Amino acid sequence: MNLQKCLDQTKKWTRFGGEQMKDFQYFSPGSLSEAISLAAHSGPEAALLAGGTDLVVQMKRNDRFPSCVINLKRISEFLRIDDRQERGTLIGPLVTHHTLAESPAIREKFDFLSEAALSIGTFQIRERGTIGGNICNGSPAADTIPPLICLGAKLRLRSSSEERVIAIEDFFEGPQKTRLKSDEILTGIEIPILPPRTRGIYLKLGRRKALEIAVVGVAVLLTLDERQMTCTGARIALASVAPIPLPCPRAGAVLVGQKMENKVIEQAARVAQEESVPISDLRGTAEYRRQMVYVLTKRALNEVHRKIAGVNN
Amino acid sequence: MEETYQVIGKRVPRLDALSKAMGDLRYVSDIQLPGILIGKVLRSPLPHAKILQIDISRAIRIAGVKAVVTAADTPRRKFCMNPAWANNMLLQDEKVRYVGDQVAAVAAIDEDTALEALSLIKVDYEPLPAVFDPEEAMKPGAPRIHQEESNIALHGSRNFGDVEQGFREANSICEGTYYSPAIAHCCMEPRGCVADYDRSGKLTVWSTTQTPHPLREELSEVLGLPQSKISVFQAPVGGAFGARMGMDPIDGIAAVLSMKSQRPVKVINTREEEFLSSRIRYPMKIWIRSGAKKNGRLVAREIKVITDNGAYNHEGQYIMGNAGSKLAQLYAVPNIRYEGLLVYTNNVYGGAFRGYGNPQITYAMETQLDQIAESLNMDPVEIRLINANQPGSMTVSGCRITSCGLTACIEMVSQNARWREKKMGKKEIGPSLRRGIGLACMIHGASGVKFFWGKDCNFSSAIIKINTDGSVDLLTGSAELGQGSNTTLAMIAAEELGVSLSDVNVINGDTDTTPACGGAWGTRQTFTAGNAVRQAASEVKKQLFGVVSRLLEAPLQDLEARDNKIYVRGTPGKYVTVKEAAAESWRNRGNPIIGRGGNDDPWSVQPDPKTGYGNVSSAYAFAAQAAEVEVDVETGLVNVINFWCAHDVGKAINPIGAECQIEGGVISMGVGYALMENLILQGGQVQNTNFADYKIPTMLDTCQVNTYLIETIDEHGPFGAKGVGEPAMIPSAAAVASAIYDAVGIWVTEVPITPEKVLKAIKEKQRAKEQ
Amino acid sequence: MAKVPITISVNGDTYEALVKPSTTLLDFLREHLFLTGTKKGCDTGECGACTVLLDGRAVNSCLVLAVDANGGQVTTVEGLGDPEHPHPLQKAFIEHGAIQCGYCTPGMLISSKALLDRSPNPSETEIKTALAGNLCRCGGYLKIIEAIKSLAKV
Repeated sequence: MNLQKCLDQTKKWTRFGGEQMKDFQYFSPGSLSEAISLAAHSGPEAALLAGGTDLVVQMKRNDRFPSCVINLKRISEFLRIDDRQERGTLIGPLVTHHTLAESPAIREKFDFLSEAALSIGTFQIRERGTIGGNICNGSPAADTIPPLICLGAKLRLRSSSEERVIAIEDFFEGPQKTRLKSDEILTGIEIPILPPRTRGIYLKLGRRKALEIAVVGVAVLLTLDERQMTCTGARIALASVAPIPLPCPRAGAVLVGQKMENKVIEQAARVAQEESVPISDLRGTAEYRRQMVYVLTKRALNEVHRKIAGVNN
Repeated sequence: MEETYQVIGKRVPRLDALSKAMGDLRYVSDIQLPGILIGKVLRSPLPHAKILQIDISRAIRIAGVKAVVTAADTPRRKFCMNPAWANNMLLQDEKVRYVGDQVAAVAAIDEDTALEALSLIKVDYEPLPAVFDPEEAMKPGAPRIHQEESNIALHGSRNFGDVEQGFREANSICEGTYYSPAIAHCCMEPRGCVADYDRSGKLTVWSTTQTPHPLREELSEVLGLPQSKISVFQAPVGGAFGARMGMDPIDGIAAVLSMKSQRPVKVINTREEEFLSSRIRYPMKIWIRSGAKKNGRLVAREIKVITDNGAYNHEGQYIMGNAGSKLAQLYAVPNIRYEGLLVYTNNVYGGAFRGYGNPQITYAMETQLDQIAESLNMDPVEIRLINANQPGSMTVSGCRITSCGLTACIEMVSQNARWREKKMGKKEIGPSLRRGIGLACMIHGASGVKFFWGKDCNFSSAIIKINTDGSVDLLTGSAELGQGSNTTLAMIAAEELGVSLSDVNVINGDTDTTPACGGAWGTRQTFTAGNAVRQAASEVKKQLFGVVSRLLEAPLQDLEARDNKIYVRGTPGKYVTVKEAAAESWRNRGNPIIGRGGNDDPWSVQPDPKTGYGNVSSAYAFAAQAAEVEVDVETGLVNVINFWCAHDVGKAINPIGAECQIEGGVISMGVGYALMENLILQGGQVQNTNFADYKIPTMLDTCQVNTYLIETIDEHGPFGAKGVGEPAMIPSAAAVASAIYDAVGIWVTEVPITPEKVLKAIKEKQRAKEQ
Repeated sequence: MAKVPITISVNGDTYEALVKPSTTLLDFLREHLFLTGTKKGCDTGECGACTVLLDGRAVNSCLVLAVDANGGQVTTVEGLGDPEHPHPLQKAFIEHGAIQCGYCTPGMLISSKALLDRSPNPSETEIKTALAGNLCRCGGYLKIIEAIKSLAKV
C-alpha cells in the first residue's frame, strides 16, 4: 500500500470521530428576487437550502462545504401547486414529498408521482425533503425524477441574467451532477396536461419497506386508445440503473401502436433492460439490477394497463 | 400444584417506564458536569501498520484543547476479557491492526475544537501487508498480526462418544457449509462513557456498560489504579445485546483523558464509529455433518468452524466454544465432534452478541436437520419431537437438563400455526408468490456459565434493606439494559417479602453501593441475580419474622408475609406491618433489617479443560419458533408474515417483559439477521456505515408475532424462572430459512438471505431440474 | 464566522439565542437548552431518535439547522406531559409495555403524536408508515402499534 496515499487518506478519516461542519454565512431571503440576487453575488461557493435532507447530511460529512447557504423556504411562491388548466400544472420547487404524496391536485392527475414521493425515505424525511431538492441533488436513484421524465416535465431555471426552461431529462450530467448553473435557482416544475386514458405507475425495489434507496426504480406512463387495448403513448424511465435518471425511449417505442399483449410487454421490458447500464454497488449487483429492470418493467406495464382499463386482477 | 402469587406472573409496567416516557432518564450522552470536556478518538485508517511516530505538537496548541493522549500516557497494559489472552491496548503504540484501531485521543472544550485537534495529530505509519480472510491468514507466510508465529489464536476440539461409529450407524447423512458474516449490534444508543478523575485521585465513571463490577476491575488493571479509587455507575443503557460486555476501549480512554486533563470527559461514538470500528458478531464459516437413523433419531453430528477473530482477542474462544457445545446439547446427540479454529485477521474484532455463537450454529444445525428429515420422508415437526430433549436427561457432554419444555414448545407452535394444514397446503398464492412455513428449535444456557473473566465463576449478589417506613431498598450489582431486569428482580423481592411492588426501590450497577455481580450476559440475570435477590429477601424475611415472633409471641413457623404485613397464619387479625417490624428492630433493638444473598450458579461447573465435559449451566432454556413467509420468485424478495414462538421460561416472572424480549428478538434482530443484516468489509474497511446501508427492520417490516410462554418451573430458578433474553432470537433465522425451503424448495447457506441469493438458488434449482 | 440571532419557541417557552449557522436544532435543544429528552442516534436523519415537532410536523431535528427553525414552534418529549398529567400516548406506551431501553421512545412518542393529530383513527398501515422512520432494536415495534391503536378514536 502506497504510504503517501495512506497519509492522504488520514485527513479524510478524522471522520471517525465525526466531521466539523465548516462555518458558512447563512441567508434566508424573503423573496425570489432577493434570492436570485444573493445567488448571483455568492457564486459557486453558495448552496441552496431546500429541505436540507440531502444538503445537511452532505455538509456534515464534508462532501460539500459551501461558504454560504441560501435558505429558500421563505419564498412563498415556491410552495405552491398551480393548476393552470390547459397550460398544465406548475409545482413549486419547495413542495415537500409529503405534500406531493397527499395533495389532491397531484394524486388525482399524477398519482404515480405521489406514489414515488411516498416511497422516499421515511415520514420525517418526507416532511422536509422537497421535489426541487430531489431534482437538484441529481442522484440517479432519486424517486421523483423517473415519473417526472415520463410526464415530460420541464424545469424553470432563473438567474439574474436569464430565465430558461429545459426538459428534465436534459438536466442531468452524472451522479450528483446537474446542469444547474452556479447562480441559477430552480423556480418551478412544469407538467403538461395529459391526454385522456393516461395513467402512470412507479415501482421501487428495495430490501426493506422503508428507509431504502432504490435498488431499481421503474416509472411507466401509458396512454391507451378509446378501446383501451392499443397503446398510443408510452414513456418509461428508470432509477438506479445508470449514472443519471434514465429515460428509455426505445422501450417506450416498442409499445406505441401495439396491442397491450404479453409478448409486446415482454419485448418492451427486454428493451428497457438493454437500455439500462447498472453498476454493482452495496445495494445490488449489476446483473441483479438488469434482471429486475425486466421484471419490474413488465409488472409496471401490466399494472398500469389494468389501472387504465379498470380491469381487476 | 398451582402456586398463587401476589406479584410474580402479573403483567406489570417497567419500573423505569415513566421516566423513559417523560424523556427524563439521563443516558451517558445526557450527563452534564461542570467543566466537562468532549473527547474524541483518533483511529487508524490502515488495517495493518507500524506506528513510527505520533506528533501531537500542533494539536495540543489549539486553544480549548485540554489533553492529547497517546499510549505514553497510559501504563501500556494489555487487556482482554480473559487476562491470559490479553493483547489489546487502550491506545496502540507499536502497531495498528485494524481500520479503526485506537491511536490517540483528544479532550477539548467542545466537539468542534476536539475534531480540529484530532485532524492536526500527525501519525507516521509504515503500512504492512494485511490479511482479511481467516483461511488466508491461517496459511504459513501470511502476514503476522501478533507476536506469535501463527495467526491461529486457538485450535481446539472436543469429542464425545464415537462420531465415526455414529455415522456408520446412520441411515441418512447430510453435510454442508454455512457462513455467518459480521453483524453490527445497532444499539440505538451509541457506545459512550463519562469519566471524572478528581484531583484527590478518585476516578468516577458513568458507562453504558453491561458489566459494571467487572468494568471496575478491568479499569483498575488497565489504568493501574486500585479498585477503591474507582467508582463505576452503570448509566441507563440504550440497548446492549452484548456490545457493552467488558471494558470498551472508550471507557479506558475517557478515563485517561480525564486523568490527563483533570476534568470530566465525555466520549461518545458517532454512529459511523459504531459501524466502522466497534465489536461485531464473530463471523463464522461452519462445515457441519449430521447423521440420523431411519426412525429420525440423530446419532452423530460434527462441525469444523473457522472463526474470524479479528485483530485482537476479546471473547472469541468462549463464543466459538459455546457454538460447538450446542452440537451436544440440542437434542442430546450421542456422538459429537467439534473442531474450531480461531484466526486473527486485520478486520475489526468480535465481541459478545446476543446468542454468543448460538445463532450461527443453530442456523446450520436446524436447516440441516430439515434436510435430514426430508431424506427420511419425515416432517420437520415430527423429527424434532422424536429428538427433543427431555427433562431429567443428560447430554453426552455432561449437561444436566433439569426443566425442559421443548416438546411442549414444538407442539404449541405447530398447533397454533396450523402446521399440518399449511405444510400440505398450496404454496402458490399468486403468479409469482409462494408461501411456506418452517420451524426451528434451540437450547441455550439460562443461568450464565462459569467462564467469567477467566476466574471460573459466575456469581451475583444482592443486599436488601428495609427502611423505617417499611419500603424496601434492593441493591443489586446486576445491570439494567432495558431488558427489564430491575423490574423482574423487584418482583422477586416483593413476592418473597410479601410487599407491594411499588414499595421496592432498585439500586443497580453502582459499584460503590451494590454488591458484585457478573453483569448482564448469557441470559443469566433472571436466574442468578434473581436467586441472589430471593435469598437476600428470604434472609430479611427471617429477621422480620424474628422480630414479629417476639412481638406476637407466635412461633416462627406460624408466620407468613403478605400484603406488607406479617401474619400469624390462620388469624387475619393478628399481624404486624413490615413498617412496624422494621421500626421495632431499628429503634428498640438497634438492628436495622439488612439481608444479603448470593448465587454462584452452584449447580453448574467449569467444564473440564481437556475434555469439555461438565454441566455448564444450572438450567437450560428451550424454544421452538415457526415462521411463515411469502417469496416472490421473480424478485427473490422474502416477506415474513407470521411467527409463532413458544419459549420455555421456567416461570414467567413478568409475562409482558418476556413477550417484549421475544417480539424484539424475532423482529428487530432475528428477521434482520435472516434477511438483511451484513456488515460489509472490504480490505478491512467497513463499507456500510449508516442505517440506510446497514439494514435493520423498520416498523413497516414487522410481521405478526404470537408468543407462548411455557412454564416448566425449574427446580433451581427463582420461583422456577429461567431467562429468555438471548433465546428470543436464536432460532428465528433458521425458522425463516426453513419456511423459504417450504415455499420454493431452496436452501441458502449464507445469511443474510438476500433476494439475489434466493433468485440465484431458484435458477440453479431450475437448471438442475432441466438437466 | 458570525453567530446568528434566533428566536424559537420550545414546548411553549420562547428562547432567544445566538448560534453558529452550522448548529443543528438537535444540538441546540440538547446542548444549549439542556433538553436532553431528544436523542442523537445517528445524526444523519436515518434513525428517528431525534424526532421533534416543528410547527406541528414530525421532523429529524438533526437535519434542521437551528437558524432554519427561527420563528418556529418546537415540541419535544418534555413538552408532551408530566408525571401528574402524562400525555395519553405516554400512558399508553407504559401500560402496553411499549418501552424497553427507552432510547427510541421520545422519537416514537413525537411521531405518534404527529400521526394522531392528523389522523385520529389510523389504520395499521398508516401507523407503520408514519413510524417507519423511528428505528427500534429492542422491542420489535408490535407493542408500540398496540399502544397507538388503543388511542384511536373510532
